[in-house]
Amino acid sequence: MSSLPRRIIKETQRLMQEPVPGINAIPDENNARYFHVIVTGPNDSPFEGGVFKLELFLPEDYPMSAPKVRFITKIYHPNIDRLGRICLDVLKDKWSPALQIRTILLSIQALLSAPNPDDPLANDVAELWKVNEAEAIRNAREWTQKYAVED
Amino acid sequence: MDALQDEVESLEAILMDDVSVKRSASGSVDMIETTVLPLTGEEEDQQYICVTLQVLPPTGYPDVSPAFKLLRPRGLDDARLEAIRSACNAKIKESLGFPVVFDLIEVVREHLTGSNLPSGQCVICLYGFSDGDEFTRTECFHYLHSYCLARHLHALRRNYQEEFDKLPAWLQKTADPFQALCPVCRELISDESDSLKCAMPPSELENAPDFRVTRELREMQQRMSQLYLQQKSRGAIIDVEAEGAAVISIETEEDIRRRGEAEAAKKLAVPAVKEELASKPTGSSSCFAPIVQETQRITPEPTNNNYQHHNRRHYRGGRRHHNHHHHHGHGHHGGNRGERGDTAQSSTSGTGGGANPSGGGNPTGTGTGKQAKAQAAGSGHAR
Repeated sequence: MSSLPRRIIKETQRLMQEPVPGINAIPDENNARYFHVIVTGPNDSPFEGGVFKLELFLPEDYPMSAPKVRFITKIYHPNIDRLGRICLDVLKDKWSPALQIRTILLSIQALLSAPNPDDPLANDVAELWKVNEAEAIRNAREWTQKYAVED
Repeated sequence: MDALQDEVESLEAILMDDVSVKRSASGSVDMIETTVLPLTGEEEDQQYICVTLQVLPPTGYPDVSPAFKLLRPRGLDDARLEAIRSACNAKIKESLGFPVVFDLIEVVREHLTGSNLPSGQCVICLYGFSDGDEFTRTECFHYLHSYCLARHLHALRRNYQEEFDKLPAWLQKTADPFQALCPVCRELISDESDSLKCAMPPSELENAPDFRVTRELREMQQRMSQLYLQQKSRGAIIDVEAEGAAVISIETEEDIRRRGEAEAAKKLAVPAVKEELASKPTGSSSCFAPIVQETQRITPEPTNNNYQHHNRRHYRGGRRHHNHHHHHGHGHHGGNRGERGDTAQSSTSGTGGGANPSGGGNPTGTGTGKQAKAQAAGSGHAR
């Protein structure tokens, strides 16, 4: 853990001291740039009740480049592909150093509430979401129950 | 009613374009609004903070106290805003029965002049502004350590160049030119990388405490890994290898070093490896492969180190000016900016590789805009 930037230390401390409801991010024991993340599915979404694991990595020049984030728990969502990669502008060209780990995770949580099948990453999911939304939402609920709801 | 009309007339006569008055259809005054800046003599580029005062006179004013709002604060944190608010409330209380708008403006201005230094923190390093820190106020009244802003501009320019280089030649010709954007509100700002390069890192940043792993953190880590194992046991974890790709994963320092060496070697062999996956190459590999690291660090080229604050006179933030035909300037730095909101917005987006995603190349008004540079406190504006 050599020379971790102050900003990362400060963000980590704040994540511990003032956690965001429904979001949990803690650094890995061996690598303080790698975070284990939990995002709970928002109420009134097909992901409600689910506890989703993500991994988040802060690259060398963070905060000048965006964190790398990926779902680890399987999720049925038009903007998240089978590898768990997320299609979100703030993770790509709309990244700004004024954003933080917490704001990025909030954006991801918001994405669960508002899937956007017109801008898909998982094509088959997006297709179904467009032609038969009811069935797509049913699938999302099933996946949530099967993979992300704690016993 | 007449008292209010008189007051508004004299406000308009004195503040001219700097005050905006909304009247209802019947001609009664609904709202008086003006942006207040600290007094800094003729040095407009040393006005580091501001706030818009909005007064809403009720029927019966001045015998009934007016309501007021403090809008679009710049460089003021909640505590300072609250102090200004309670001073205004006190003034309104003691002035019941008399016109109070001028006095309110004065109260706000005194507060701003009293400590013309941004409070709050720099959004890039998350530390405050201490005495001696060099900071920059953008045209949109956001505050950043000059050191941090320089890093941001450098990264923006690098990203632009990377995207630009990916374009086929025929598209490069029509690509939008590079535009510097405010990290807070994405407004266009002037790119002063050259003069910012020499800025020193902020002092709080240098003296921050180290990170320590607490018992609480250990417990949370354990709970996390329990959840992982539990989800794994029911097949809920995405199996990256089965999907035929590699993404970020936890590695020990040893793994990282070994993989770094391997990748560095690969890079030498195949220089044009593109990102197959969002996270794989740039992410975890960069902290150990020295070749990559070198390119990612900010390396200010030692060229063109002109410190002089050329064009400062063009700075357009000021408002207490005698000429009253600079409406466009007002719209820009007051209203419009505020309405855009102070936080970066997000939405889903395609992965598309446009060279300048924010649609830069805006020809209006940034040419004359200059960021105010300052040495905090003492040295800065004591003269």
